[in-house]
Amino acid sequence: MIEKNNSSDGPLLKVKGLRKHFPVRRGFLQRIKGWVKAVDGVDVDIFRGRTLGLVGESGCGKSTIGRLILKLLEPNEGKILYKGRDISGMTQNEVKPLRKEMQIIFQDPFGSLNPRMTVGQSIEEGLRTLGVKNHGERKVRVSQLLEMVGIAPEAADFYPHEFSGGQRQRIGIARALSVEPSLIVCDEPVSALDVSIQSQIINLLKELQNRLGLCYLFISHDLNVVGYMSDTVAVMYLGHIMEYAAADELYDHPLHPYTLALLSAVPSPDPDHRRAQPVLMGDVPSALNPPPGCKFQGRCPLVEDRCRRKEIEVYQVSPEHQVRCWKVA
Amino acid sequence: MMLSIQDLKVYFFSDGRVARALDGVSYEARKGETVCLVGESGCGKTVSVLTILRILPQPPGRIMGGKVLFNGQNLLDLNEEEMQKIRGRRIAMIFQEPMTSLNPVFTIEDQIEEAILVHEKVDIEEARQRCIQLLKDVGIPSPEERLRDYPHQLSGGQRQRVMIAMALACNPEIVIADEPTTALDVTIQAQILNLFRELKQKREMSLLYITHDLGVVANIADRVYVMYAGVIAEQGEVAHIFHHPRHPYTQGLLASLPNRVKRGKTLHSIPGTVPNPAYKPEGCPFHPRCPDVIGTCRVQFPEMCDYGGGHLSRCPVLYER
Ligand SMILES: Nc1ncnc2c1ncn2[C@@H]1O[C@H](COP(=O)(O)OP(=O)(O)OP(=O)(O)O)[C@@H](O)[C@H]1O
Ligand SMILES: Nc1ncnc2c1ncn2[C@@H]1O[C@H](COP(=O)(O)OP(=O)(O)OP(=O)(O)O)[C@@H](O)[C@H]1O
Ligand code: SF4
Ligand code: SF4
Ligand SMILES: [Mg+2]
Ligand SMILES: [Mg+2]
Repeated sequence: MIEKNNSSDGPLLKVKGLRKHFPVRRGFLQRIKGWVKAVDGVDVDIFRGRTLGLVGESGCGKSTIGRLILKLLEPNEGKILYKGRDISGMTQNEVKPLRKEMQIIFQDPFGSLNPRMTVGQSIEEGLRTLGVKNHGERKVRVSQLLEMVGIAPEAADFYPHEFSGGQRQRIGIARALSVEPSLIVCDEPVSALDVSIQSQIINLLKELQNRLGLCYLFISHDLNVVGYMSDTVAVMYLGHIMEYAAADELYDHPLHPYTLALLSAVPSPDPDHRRAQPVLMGDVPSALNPPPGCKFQGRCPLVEDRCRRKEIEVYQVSPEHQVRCWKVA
Repeated sequence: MMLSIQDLKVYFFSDGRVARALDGVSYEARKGETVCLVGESGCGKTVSVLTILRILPQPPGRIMGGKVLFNGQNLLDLNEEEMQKIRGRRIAMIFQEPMTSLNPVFTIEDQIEEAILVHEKVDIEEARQRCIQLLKDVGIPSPEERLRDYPHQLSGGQRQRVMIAMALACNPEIVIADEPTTALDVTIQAQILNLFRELKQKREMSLLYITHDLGVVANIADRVYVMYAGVIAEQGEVAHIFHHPRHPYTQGLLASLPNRVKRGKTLHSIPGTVPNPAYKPEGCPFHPRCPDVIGTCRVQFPEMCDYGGGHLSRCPVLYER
């Protein structure tokens, strides 16, 4: 049914200088009191058949990037090149033919499935937008899609609430696949699932990727899951990509003080590797009116005057490795 | 023994169905020990805690049997008045979402001082000093300035610290923490876990820590109970459980953990789903998902098998192999 994409060289999706600032309004007149710099100049590439992992603490801007790429939000600045064409300036009408090529899977598939539609009807909707007009053909495709994600085809006649969390996530995946996308933004797709169900869904996503040549933007705060899923990983902090590298490179040779802190905070499932962790102090700061200079300065153990003076640039330390910190570069 | 629940059975009766949430659960926490209770959603972790504290919603819940021994006394025999002297005072409680346990219209000071004053006869100035000291102990920066804050003015991590301060306010003998870091970022979780470790050393209290995160378990537990569908599947010292798991469920859970070293290989996964407690399978509750299942597993409820050194597993099949 869905053709495997041939892996040509260029990235399927290229994001350049992407910015999204949300105004914060207060008081009776709803005057703008400041800006949340949710995404503040982001460059990433996503290749065919590959996974880009996006990690970082709550509020750092991961979901906003996902929504910008899908054009559910308009950026303030920057380019989103899909197959070489800039979609950031396109109107909703112009972008419509591309809609089905990019899909999203959420943490809570409940929120994205219409509770009053049967699972079959939800999936059929996607097929209709694809232009599958024949009712019988749609029914057959629904069964195929459900089987592909490991759900009995009879389930098409049931409603979302009749399924467990893991099953609903499978249905969410089936629905995303119904329009034969090339790119899927997976926004915390396994975060709400139990370990035993989580590994089932992870395997399913990987298998579908291999079979269909799908390209994933995989958003998660779980470094173990991201490390398993991703070919390349971007570590985000307050709207900036702090470190961007091939997955093995990032886990074996992390450079940025924030990456180091994140990695050391992940509890290892081995009681022999228990450590009184060198814990990152302080809270996750708000993205509202961040100070000039490095966004990590407030929690960085290596901070110096220079970090506070001006914007920190991105250093290319090797072909596969970028870091936004002058001290470690 | 500080706290010991024995053969606890709790069922829920609703819509003409019976959900056997706890099907004969026994676990214990000794003085100064950190015990982790780990298991997937719906296996009965929270219900066991609600039963210990006697705050189980009844109906629909009903205690069908068993004991909750706290320093030898069966809490299930106490009346509400007697229970109030224990709950929050000798046994303290920390929940996952502090916002639901903190009162949004009172300041941090009001809430902690109240926790102190309810249980002890001290004057307000002393209560205030104690309150500041507690906030310091749990790592709240400049606590004097935080006293007047309302819960919504604090970050999630700080709220959880305030909850811990409240729990510690009357020097409990045991703290029960139900998923206290599940809603927090990893860096904040690491801070809270460190805090628990420190506090335990200083205060010699016992900690019953509930989580579904095996990484957290490996990090703080002295001993572990692995629960599945309302029964204890395996128990033992943390090193035994992680290095020599003896129950197919524990083995499956550990093998399913993703990490970047496993990339490119199919992850191990446990097929199927956790059973609904109203429709639990006959025999071993894990048998429909078990790779080692044999005929008797489908009809006979498995006994605990003793591997020595406090390591027990409810799987006779692997034991006899
Ligand atoms: N529509 C909006 N209006 C105003 N602020 C917003 C809006 N959407 C997001 N934000 C803010 O932008 C920042 C980034 O949010 P985002 O949802 O992208 O974070 P995230 O990394 O996905 O976090 P989480 O891990 O909690 O999902 C946050 O500070 C958030 O409050
Ligand atoms: N108020 C209730 N009414 C009916 N059934 C209930 C009620 N509370 C709990 N149960 C049942 O008891 C079982 C155990 O629930 P419990 O909350 O203890 O699970 P848990 O192990 O704490 O899970 P989680 O990790 O999701 O918190 C559940 O399967 C649920 O069906
Ligand atoms: S630029 Fe300075 S503050 Fe930022 S990460 Fe590097 S050393 Fe730390
Ligand atoms: S008793 Fe049987 S079904 Fe249960 S865990 Fe052991 S082998 Fe598996
Ligand atoms: Mg998000
Ligand atoms: Mg619970």
